[in-house]
Amino acid sequence: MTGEAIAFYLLAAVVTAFALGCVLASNIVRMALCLLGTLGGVALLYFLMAANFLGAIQLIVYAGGTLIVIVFGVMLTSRAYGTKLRVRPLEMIGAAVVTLALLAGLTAILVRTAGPVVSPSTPDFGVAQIGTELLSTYLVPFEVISVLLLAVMIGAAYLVQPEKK
Amino acid sequence: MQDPVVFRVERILRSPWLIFGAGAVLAGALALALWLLFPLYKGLLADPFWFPILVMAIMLNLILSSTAICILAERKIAGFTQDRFGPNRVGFWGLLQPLADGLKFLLKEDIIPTQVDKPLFLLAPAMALIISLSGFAVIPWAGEVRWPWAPDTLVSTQVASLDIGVLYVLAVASLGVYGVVLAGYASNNKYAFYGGVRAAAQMISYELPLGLGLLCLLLTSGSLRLEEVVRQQAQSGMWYVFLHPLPFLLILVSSFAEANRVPFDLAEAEQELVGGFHTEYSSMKFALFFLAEYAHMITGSAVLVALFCGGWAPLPFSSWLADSTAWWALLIKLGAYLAKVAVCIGLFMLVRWTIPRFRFDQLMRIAWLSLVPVGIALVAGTATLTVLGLQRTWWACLGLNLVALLGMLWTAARSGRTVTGRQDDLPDIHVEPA
Amino acid sequence: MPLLASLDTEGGTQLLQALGIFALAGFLMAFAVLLFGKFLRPRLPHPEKNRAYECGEEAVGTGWVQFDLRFYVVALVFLVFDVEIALFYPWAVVFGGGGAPGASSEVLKEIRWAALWDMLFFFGVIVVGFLYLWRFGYLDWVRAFSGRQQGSELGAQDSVIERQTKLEAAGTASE
Repeated sequence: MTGEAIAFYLLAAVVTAFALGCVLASNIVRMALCLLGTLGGVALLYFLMAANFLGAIQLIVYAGGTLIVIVFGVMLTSRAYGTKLRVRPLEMIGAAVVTLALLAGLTAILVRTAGPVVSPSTPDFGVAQIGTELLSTYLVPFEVISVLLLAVMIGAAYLVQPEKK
Repeated sequence: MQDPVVFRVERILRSPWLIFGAGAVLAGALALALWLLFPLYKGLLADPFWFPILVMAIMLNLILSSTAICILAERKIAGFTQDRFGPNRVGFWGLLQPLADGLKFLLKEDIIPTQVDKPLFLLAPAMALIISLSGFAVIPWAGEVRWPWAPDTLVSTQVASLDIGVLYVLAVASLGVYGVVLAGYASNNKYAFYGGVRAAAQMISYELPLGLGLLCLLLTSGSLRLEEVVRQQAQSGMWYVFLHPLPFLLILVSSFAEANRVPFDLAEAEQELVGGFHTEYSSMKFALFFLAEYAHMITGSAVLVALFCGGWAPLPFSSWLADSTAWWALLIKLGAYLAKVAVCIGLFMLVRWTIPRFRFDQLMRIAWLSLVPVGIALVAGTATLTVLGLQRTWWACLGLNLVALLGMLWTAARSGRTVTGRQDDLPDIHVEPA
Repeated sequence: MPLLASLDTEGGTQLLQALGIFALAGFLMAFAVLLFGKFLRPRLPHPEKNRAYECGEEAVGTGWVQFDLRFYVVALVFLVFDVEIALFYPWAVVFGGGGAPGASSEVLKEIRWAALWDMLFFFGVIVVGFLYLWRFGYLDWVRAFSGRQQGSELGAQDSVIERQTKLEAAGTASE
């Protein structure tokens, strides 16, 4: 086995363990911590695949940004982390349906797009390439994102709006 | 009266001969060992794979041990600022103080209160330390070197030559929150919890000016590789701090906040929160948090020096040694880098003992209402300069910085309140009785 | 022989190795020192010593109190800017540097002006949101609470102290 394979299986095991921990933990802050482990592990997997930009963005936006929002959201509700969370059977069925649907979708995509493995470290593969694509092929989505972000900001403002009498 | 034996031991410990003699003997032994063992590690030095790992091992040791020296330096600088001696009882000029501190941390009782979330309580200091150390991976210490006995291989002193180095720095900074938040949560103590929450809000707020400042730099350098940024500065002799003083300031202020240092140490404000997030930590675990803080400070300084102060370039406005790969050049470059980092750390310490702590609303206002708008304006301005081809012209860059600075001052003056002043024009908070 | 050799043109695998070593060193530092000290330091537990260090009084409730909603707004706005900055880095590399390795200088020159307008539009939209938040005081930490609803219900936008007062008045200070 090569070094990459060992590193990959090691990281994959860590990511899976954290993901399981996130689902099975009964304390909400430990769940958030496990989520951090999962997101960080996935970032390391990206680094292993030489997709460094993706790895860094994963760390900055997901592990450092979204997760903080989740943690703050958790801490806003003081009742949530004093008590143990239990899952009711009905919720479990619902979750199973959603998860299986997601799994099916991902498998379908994987089966449909799986082709020959390309070496990722071709010279024109990098941040500059991503930037050029963003400015040419994906220009409209790029600009639309700004409107989406604007909506998020206004939404945040609406959240703290004191209720009117 | 003092015990005569204790008195005599203290006098021996405080004699300069002891510490300098011991230092000389140790340095001599180290040099001798290095000289005798040279054939053994000669191959490692010229191996492009093992050399960075060797560099990392040395740097890791250097950083962990230099935190001890940093603590002594901090106390000495505090003494200097407040017109007193600082530590001078343990060893000559207090030089053995780090040793005594370490021993004390090791011998203190380690109290784990009953109410804590124990696994997370133990994990938090280790996490803080690991995250603050990770930034070292991309620091380009002294460029590249060609050893005289292996002239064919060019080895780099950088551990990981990452194509997205600057982004990696930002990513590590954004993860720095978790050690503190986890400590605050796991302690199950109200002071610790408030400390953790404050730290989180503060660190995310100051990450934005950090990102915007780095973006300005990036528009000029056009590369995210740290060693490339340093090389550009070394070759042109024009350090980016001369072109971009305001982005430099943004990043400097942000690194104060990210390292939780005064004047941004609201997470551990001892007058309000006892000790903040580390209230419940004692003994070695407490020391680990300090180790992490100092390691954070050293990483922050090293990144700042690499991006804005020419990294290993020994002289400004000169391209001396920029393309040299000789072994003696390596020593000069490394010396220059470490000296700049030391100056930067000295600045951190001087600021700590001169500027009082901000109030929380002031802290948030500085980040959101003055640093972020200035950052946005600077990014837009630098982009315009880049299109016009002026991004490396000193008068254009300085002019932009001046305009941004004046704009900031003008906005502050127009709103009628200074950044740190009182907010008299807001109505009082009216709390309804329950 | 390098452990992970095949992909290190981008430095990602070098980074992984470095991170592995850092994590190992950090854990060794943390746990070896703790373990070593365990044999040296005294261990005299006492129920009063092991209590929460708060103010000398018996601590009321847990330390896990609810905190202010303002922190949440800060986090949301931060996330917006974080995404924006993350999107801007590849743009800035193309814009400031030589673009993609294949691109010629004429293409670059042409793309630059377009890119500037794209960026200014993107920035403009974000700045509109930012100015909205600024203008209506959502970024002011000290807020005026005049529009507050009255009532004993625990409102989400109550400050922590206020909420604590209410809890104590209701006699349900601890859960």
